[in-house]
Amino acid sequence: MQRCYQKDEGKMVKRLLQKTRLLGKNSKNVLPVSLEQTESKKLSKSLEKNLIKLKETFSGNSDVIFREFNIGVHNECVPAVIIFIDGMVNINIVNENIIKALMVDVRIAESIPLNGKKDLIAEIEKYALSAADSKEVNNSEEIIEGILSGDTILLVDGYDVSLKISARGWESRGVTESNTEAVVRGPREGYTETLRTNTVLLRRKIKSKDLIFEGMKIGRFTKTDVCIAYIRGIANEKIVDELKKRLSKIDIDGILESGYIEAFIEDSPFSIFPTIGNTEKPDITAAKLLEGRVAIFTDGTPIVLTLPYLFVETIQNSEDYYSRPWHITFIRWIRFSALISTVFLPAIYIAGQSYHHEMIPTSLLITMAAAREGIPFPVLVEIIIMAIIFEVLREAGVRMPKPVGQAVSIVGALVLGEAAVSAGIVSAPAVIVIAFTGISGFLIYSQNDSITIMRFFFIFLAGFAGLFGILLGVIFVLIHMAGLRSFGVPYLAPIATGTVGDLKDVVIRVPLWMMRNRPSMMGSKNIERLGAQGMPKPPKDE
Amino acid sequence: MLEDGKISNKQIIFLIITIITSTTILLFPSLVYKEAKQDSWMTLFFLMVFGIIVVYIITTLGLMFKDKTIIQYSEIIVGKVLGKILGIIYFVFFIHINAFIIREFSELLLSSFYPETPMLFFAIGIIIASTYAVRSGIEVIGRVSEVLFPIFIIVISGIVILAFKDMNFNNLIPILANGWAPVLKGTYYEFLLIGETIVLAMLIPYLNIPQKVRKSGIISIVSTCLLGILILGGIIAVFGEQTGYLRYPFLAVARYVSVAGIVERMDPLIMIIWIGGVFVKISVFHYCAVLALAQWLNIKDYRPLVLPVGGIMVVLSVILWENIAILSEQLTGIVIIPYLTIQVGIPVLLLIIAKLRKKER
Amino acid sequence: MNKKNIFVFLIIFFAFLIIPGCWNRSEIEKKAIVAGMGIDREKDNDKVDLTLQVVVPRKVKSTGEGEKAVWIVSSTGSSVFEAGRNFGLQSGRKALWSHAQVLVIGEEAAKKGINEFIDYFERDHEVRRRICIMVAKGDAKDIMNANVEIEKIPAFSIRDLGQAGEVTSKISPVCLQEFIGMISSKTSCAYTPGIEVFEEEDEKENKEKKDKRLRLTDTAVFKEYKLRGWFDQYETRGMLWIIGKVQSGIIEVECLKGGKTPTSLEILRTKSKIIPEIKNGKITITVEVSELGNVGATPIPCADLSDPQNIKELERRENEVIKKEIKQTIKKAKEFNTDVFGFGEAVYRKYPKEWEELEDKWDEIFPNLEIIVKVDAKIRRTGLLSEAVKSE
Repeated sequence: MQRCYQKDEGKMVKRLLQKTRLLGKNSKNVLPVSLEQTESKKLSKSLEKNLIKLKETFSGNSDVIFREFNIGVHNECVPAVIIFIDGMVNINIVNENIIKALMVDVRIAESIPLNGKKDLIAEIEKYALSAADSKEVNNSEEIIEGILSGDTILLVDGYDVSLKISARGWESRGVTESNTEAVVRGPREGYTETLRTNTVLLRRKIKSKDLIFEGMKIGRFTKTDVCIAYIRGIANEKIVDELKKRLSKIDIDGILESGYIEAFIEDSPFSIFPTIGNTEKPDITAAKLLEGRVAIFTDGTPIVLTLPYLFVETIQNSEDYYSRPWHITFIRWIRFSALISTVFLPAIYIAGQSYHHEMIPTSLLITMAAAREGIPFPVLVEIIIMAIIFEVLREAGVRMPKPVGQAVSIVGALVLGEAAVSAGIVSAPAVIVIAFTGISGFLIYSQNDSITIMRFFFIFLAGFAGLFGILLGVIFVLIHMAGLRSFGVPYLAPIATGTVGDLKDVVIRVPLWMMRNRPSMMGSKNIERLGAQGMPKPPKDE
Repeated sequence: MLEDGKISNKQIIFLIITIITSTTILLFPSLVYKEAKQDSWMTLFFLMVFGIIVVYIITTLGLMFKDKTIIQYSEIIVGKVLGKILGIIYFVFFIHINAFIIREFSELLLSSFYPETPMLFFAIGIIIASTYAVRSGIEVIGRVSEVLFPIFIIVISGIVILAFKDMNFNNLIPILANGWAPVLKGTYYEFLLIGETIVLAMLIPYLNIPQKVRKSGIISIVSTCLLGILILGGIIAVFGEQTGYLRYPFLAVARYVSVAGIVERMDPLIMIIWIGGVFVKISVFHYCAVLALAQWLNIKDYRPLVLPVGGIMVVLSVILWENIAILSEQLTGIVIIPYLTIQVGIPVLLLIIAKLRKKER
Repeated sequence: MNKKNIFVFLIIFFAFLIIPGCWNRSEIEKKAIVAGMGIDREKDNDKVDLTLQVVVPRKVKSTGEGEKAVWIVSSTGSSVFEAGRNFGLQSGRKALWSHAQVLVIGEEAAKKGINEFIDYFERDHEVRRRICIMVAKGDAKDIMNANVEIEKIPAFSIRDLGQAGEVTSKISPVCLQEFIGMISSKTSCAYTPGIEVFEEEDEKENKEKKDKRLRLTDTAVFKEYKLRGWFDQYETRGMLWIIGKVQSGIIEVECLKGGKTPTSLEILRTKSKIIPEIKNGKITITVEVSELGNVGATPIPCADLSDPQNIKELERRENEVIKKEIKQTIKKAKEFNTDVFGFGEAVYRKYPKEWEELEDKWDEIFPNLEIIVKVDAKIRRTGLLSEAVKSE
């Protein structure tokens, strides 16, 4: 590296110390670093020393690029280095806006005499660098973090401050239709694995100055970017504060998916019910934020967390608001029935068959008795076997590579089902029951984990105590749910906390022009969401 | 206070209606019918009046000491010694009444659905559920009752409505054939049910808005009695004279209902309301018992006491009565006076003494 | 709540469920579904002879024509309860009573009194209160063994017979609950449909082979759980007129222009009122029946129904016929001294005080009771014709 420019080092020390203080104030949302660390991780003014230190840090890595060049005209040039990771930067910007700007355009401009410059970095940042996002950084920890996150670091000889230029760009999946949350009517965009893309998708839905994104990094090794999103003035301040407190307490090796975060901040880790919701779609997130909830974006996963999460959200779906009220009310009832049937149908079947024969209509009873002649297992065992087989099939269907996927349905449905019935191993009614149970379960797939556990719970209860057992189990589950809270909001709200107004959106879905207020249980101060327009009417003829 | 949970007024209304109705529809119709015959449904009007008076007394007393339960303020009113004695009386009362309820509950399930299952099974089952609920706090009990209440009401009304075509309203006339005396005697047997509002005396400190409790109490009483008229009237209309000797007439109505030949034998529905309603009742009384004991012993956290108290209730429910006949006999006999004293008499006395003492100052 | 506590809780809960075992569990295929029951008393001793029709489920869908899907089984015991239990001696399966649809009581058993049967069926939680009760002319056993076409399970068709019979209004089905309701009324009298086996020659094959068939016949009249007598079909209808249970049926009236073929009038709706009156210690009962009907069929000479006078005449004749039926029934009921109509009950409802004294004497009062019958029949429609089809 050529030393083109000899600087008076003495005066720079003073300047740099000043800069350090200023920089401290300017820095954004970075995890606080102790003072001693700052001291030891400080850059030196000598470019060579810095380079040696950094190259040592990144030794062994073949993808970290150190590009050395000179800023300025030949006899007044200043040695400089940019450091970046190949593949994580937008190479066009690096080439055009950084290297070219500093190497070529400065030379062409020639308006900046470089000699005797006290504040070269600032000057470069203001006049020469044509990259959009840049920041002054002076401790090596931030520099390393920046490089690893995809930023480009500019080191200039003779200054112990560096510029961190954000010119990120990498291959990512691109905004596509979400697989897991399909809609008939409504936007189809789903989140991707890049945090910035996701926050942008949300910004495009809510163009309000009150939409706040607070970012942080969590994870010792992964240093995952995590972002809290909420609408100031609508979201409950207490919930946001509580959330920030809990997030700051997370100390773990790595956050690979939002599920990790969920596990660390949830209210009742042992409950089978989730108290934090998730979604893959920006319009759903926007709707939830507008109701007063808070969202958590995690870099590396398209799944965004929303909280607080209440039981009623199981049967609500944001698509509901895009269609007409009558139909959606009906669909909501169907969803609720599906929830009931997927959890209880096998249990009720067992209870009816084994304990409560008088409950079943006579002709049905005879048919069932005929179907069960010769079956070797008692009903309880039969149902358990079928339920487990169903779970295996379902899981296999998810993991199967596409070409083999067809075989799963053929093998599962036809072979296992039909053959088992013909062979007399299971009875046809049991197969029907389990099949219908499974299909209802798909209707509300988002809750599949808790539903499956509950289903087996009730199957056992029914097998041992009939309807009494089922009812006792229901009571237990109810007690559990009644005591559950999601960030302070009772899990069963609004069903069980008395505000009749909120029920407008649970049991039925009233037309949009009737939903004056936000759900009160979110505790937000800004309640009204509708203006005073009332029901839409055609204009009167004059 | 021992806990932070609060129940809203809607919840207290639901709680009281559920508590009283869940056992009313069981054994009581036949017991009352034996006295008042076809005028049994009229007993509920008198009951309403009596109920409103009782609620008034208990709530006035309770509102004088808004943040204390009867265990605590009885010490203030009549002094420490007498107050402690009263505390024990109430504690024993709550346990005893729960033992009664658990026994009724088990008997019904045994005789109608599960003949061979041992009684302990049901008692232990429901007490485990109740323990869980009580440990979670009164707020949870309130919420669970809020969820269960609509189902409760819908099922009961549904059964009565479906039974409509089997009703013969001639069974209800002649009215007042034997005069008012049998009606009043029938009402006398039902006093016990109204006395169950004594739970208010323990729960007032935990209400969201204590001032409204009087109104809530009255609404509960009126609704319960109206519901009772519907039920009792319906039962008599369907069964007439048989109501007197059927042990569980409402269950029989549910069994008899048939719609289009397909919907038949709806007894499991009875099980739903029965188990749900009785669960609420048992857990509330369980809670009162545990709370009473904890306050009596001046313990801050009542939670360790819940399971032992529950165990006592289970054991008592099994050993105190040999068979359902003895239990029914006691319900309309020996038990009434002591219960009424505890539920009504003592609060009246306390109220009088408290008012007198206030005047003194 | 302590996390450890939850675990302990759950473990206890599950252990409590699993360890003791399940006492009441029974698989449906291990139970014998009883479709119908027949009760007789043995002639010499008083033992109960219970005949059961048990459903054989696998035969229900699969057998060929004409074959029954039931297994007919008899067992005896000193009471119905015991006879039912003794069924276990003949079958490995436990009996399931809750789906039994029909209860047939033999004539002799009915005469001796059925109150212990009724008590058992009421007390037991399995038997349904909607079970259809009938009395057999002869032995219940024969009824249970008879063949009924169309249905694979004869007991179900017996039940359907009862319900279908309402169309003629010559028979009225009675279920257990209604029977008990009647018996426990003030006059303790009840009725049930009767059923008998008749033999019909099977003309298709040889004339010697006789096929046993079932049909509903007279109505059995009970007083205090004992069979007192039978009403024939028109008498049954007379009784149904009085208690207002006539729903449909045909009244045959003499044709307007005379002749052998009667005009048939269809009954659409009826209402009845029983009005008791006590004047000077004397009891009079007025029975008011109002009816609404159609003209069903009429022979051609009498068919000119466009004239309102003709209709009035038909109505008048109808009134006479109905009155006659009612009076005939009352006469027979007085012979048996069974107040099936609920006259006593009506007196109680209107005059509860007086009834207290009358109650014990009702058996003497009833046969001499003065009963006034008023009938008001109306013909609404005449079908689709106003005159008959002319034949020139």
